[in-house]
Amino acid sequence: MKSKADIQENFQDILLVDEEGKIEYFKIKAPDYFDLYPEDLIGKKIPQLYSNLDEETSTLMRAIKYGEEKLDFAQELYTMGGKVVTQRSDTFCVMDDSETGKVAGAVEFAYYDPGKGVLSRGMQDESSRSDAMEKVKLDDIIGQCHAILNVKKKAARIVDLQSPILITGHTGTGKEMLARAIHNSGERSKEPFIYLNCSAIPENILEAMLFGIKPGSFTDAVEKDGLFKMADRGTLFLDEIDSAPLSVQGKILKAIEDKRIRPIGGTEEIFLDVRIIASCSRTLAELMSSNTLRQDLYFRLAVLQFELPPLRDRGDDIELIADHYLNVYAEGSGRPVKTLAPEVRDFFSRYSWPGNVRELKNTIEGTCRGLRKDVINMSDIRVRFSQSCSGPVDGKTAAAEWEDYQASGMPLKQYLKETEEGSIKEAMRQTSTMAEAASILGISPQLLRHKLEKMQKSEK
Amino acid sequence: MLNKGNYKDFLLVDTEGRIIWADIGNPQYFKVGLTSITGLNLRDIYSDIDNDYPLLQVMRTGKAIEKFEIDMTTHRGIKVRKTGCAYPIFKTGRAIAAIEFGDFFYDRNHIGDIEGHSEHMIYRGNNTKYVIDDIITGDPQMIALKKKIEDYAITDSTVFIYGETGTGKELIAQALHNCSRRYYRKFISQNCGAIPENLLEGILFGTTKGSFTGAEDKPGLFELAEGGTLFLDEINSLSINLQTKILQSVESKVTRRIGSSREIKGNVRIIAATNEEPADLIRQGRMKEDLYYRLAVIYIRLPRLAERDGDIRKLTNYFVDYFNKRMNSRILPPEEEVMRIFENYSWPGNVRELRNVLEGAFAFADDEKITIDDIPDYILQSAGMENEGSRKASGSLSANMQELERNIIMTQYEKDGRKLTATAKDLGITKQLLRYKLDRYEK
Repeated sequence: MKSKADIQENFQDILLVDEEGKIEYFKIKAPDYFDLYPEDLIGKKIPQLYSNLDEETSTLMRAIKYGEEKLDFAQELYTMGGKVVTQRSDTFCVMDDSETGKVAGAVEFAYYDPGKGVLSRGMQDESSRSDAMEKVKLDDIIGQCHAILNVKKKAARIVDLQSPILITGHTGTGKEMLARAIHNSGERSKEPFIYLNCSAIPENILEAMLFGIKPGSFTDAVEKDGLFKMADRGTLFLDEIDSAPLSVQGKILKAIEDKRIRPIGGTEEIFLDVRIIASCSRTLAELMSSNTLRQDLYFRLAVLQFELPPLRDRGDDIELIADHYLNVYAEGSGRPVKTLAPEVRDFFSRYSWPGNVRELKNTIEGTCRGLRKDVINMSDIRVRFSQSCSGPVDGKTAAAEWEDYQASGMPLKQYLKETEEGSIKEAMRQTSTMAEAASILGISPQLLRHKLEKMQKSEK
Repeated sequence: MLNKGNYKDFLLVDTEGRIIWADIGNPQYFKVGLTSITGLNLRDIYSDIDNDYPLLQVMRTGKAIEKFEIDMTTHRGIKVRKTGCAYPIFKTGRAIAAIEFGDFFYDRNHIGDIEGHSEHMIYRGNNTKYVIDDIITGDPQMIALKKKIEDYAITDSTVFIYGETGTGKELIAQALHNCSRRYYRKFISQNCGAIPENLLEGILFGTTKGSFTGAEDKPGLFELAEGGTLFLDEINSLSINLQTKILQSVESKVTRRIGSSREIKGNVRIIAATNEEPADLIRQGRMKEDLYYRLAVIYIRLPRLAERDGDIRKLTNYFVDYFNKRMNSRILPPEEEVMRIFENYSWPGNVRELRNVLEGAFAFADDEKITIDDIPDYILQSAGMENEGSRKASGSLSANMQELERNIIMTQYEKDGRKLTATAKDLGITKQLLRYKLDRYEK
């Protein structure tokens, strides 16, 4: 008969050690409390992992040394990283030979309440690392160019107004940041800021999401609050409002004008105090020439209108923002602040930045990651800009290449062959070994040897 | 000493033969459709098991078995040879369970199943097969990338991988995940091109009951990957509409199930990949520009196999060793003649193609070595043609020459008013060849 409590099935962890107490295998539900990877844990002894255990107090060590079993044993363990684990465990011996009593190791099954068992102490919680965007204020918006200073000055005056706002500007210019900054800088900062990107949602769902549903409106309808209601007393940010269907735009306009909404299927209207901030990824001029935003809604929104300039028009701000993100990265990674080489600054000031501030931020972040030196050179960022660098910066234009070809007076095939041979000869001149020449040419040594043999043959 | 043979599969069973915990390389090999054999009985796995099976034997005798070798038949009817060691676990003087460390060997007729094998004990609990050491390379560019991956792993930044088919995008994504502190959480992989658009939205974001006919309350992949990594391959095959939704979720770290307004906070690392140049995708309007900029905080471009210096030879030897190890065979690496053909071939399908070719060669190989007869004809043919038709790395001699040729032809074509006959005459090539070249450029 198998007794019920031999091994309880609801264990979370298995820890298996060999006869010296070194970990041979583990299955741990949340191994992050050790901050170690499997290859680091395997081979470690238990007292090396917990600050309050030694060779005599560790249940696994005792099992090996004295053949001691321990059932349903509750203990509080402190990891070397300062985390506390409260667990119950069963510890058994793994036998080499049960007649002589020789052990091969020991195994422990641990149980704890998920979520409650592992407490961290003096460690920063990963998820609480604040999302800077959520707390941004107007003063945090970086920029000294006239356009941005003007936006900040104007915005500061209207943070507490209830009137709707329209923010225009191309992708990555910081529309959501401005919307959040306005929200966070005023009295509404204590209330919710609700974000919705209108372009992502089909018409019928968008309406229900915005205004909510009352039961009975259609079969199986479940009562749901809309985003308007959720944003009551706060701000509702409608990103890319010009992508919303015109009919929904009409309902949004009505909600703004009446300051109340009626949920789908509902009979009663709900009065709300919601500030609407809407945005479009087009400039004002582009917006007027397309028919994607209802005129009446536009006129209602555009009373307070902000247009964010593209990054390439912001002059010295590019450097300012780049330096800002270099600092942010250094703070986050605990490494020294990196600097941009003059050639990089120069390139940044000339580059068109189609993705605007977001592209600049991501460029800085992406380049800093994995870079082991303190100065960022052109070669470190080239791969990200290969499209824009490979034109005039690196080589000749197609037209210039054609002119060279014309001037040669050769048929295409011969011209190509001689050009290639010229490159190969040049590479051979510059280097001393075949392998080096091949690496300059970006081909395998075998292919280079093959090409050289062909060249020799044709010369004969 | 426990596990002296350093075996890679771990089993824990009770006295009845029920598997209390299993950490093995390829559950599918034993029973189709299984992702885990925990909870099954040994008898559900092997059709010819008896009480002398080492795990059961050690509980009876109370004595460990330091090394066993045994032939078994799985329920799929496949013969497997297994080696390993087994030990009893005791409680108050009585064996209550036993553990086994073992390795099994694949049958040569099932060499294709090796693809599904997850080598790494413990790591494989998160759905992955690869860690960073599985990036086999001697190429300086790839070695540098390997170093960087360890740094990238520390952060939670989104990653964008561009690499042609078979260059190892998923390998890189898994290696990143397993280097990161998220390694014990799920790695969820979704090929966005593999599923119809209308289903994909529900799969990614989840559904609520009643949101459309037949819809059930189901979490989406964003929710299932909580705390871990979500790998979205071929992200360019998503409609712009869905791309916008992804962008929104990535930016706000919040998702909503279809038909629900409840916001679900998430902590998921996104790794996206495409097999086409992102700049082209953006230009053609197939990839949302702002989504690209948001995802490409870390940008990784994987080189084609042919660009990787010396890696064709290195990987060939590696795969031969690996297949030998997994099948307990001793087939020698290809002859020098074959190696040279491999090195001159362009490998449009990259590492995956090389692996498949070797898998096929293994299946064909008569006795102890891989010869030219074991290599598919199409490779022999195109190797003879010396990399004609292959596209090479940008900046390499071959790429530069192709670029030059293209620029001259296109400029001449425009100058001649897009007339084939005149252009062909001016360039001194045939009309057929010109048309063929133009076709390729237009693509």
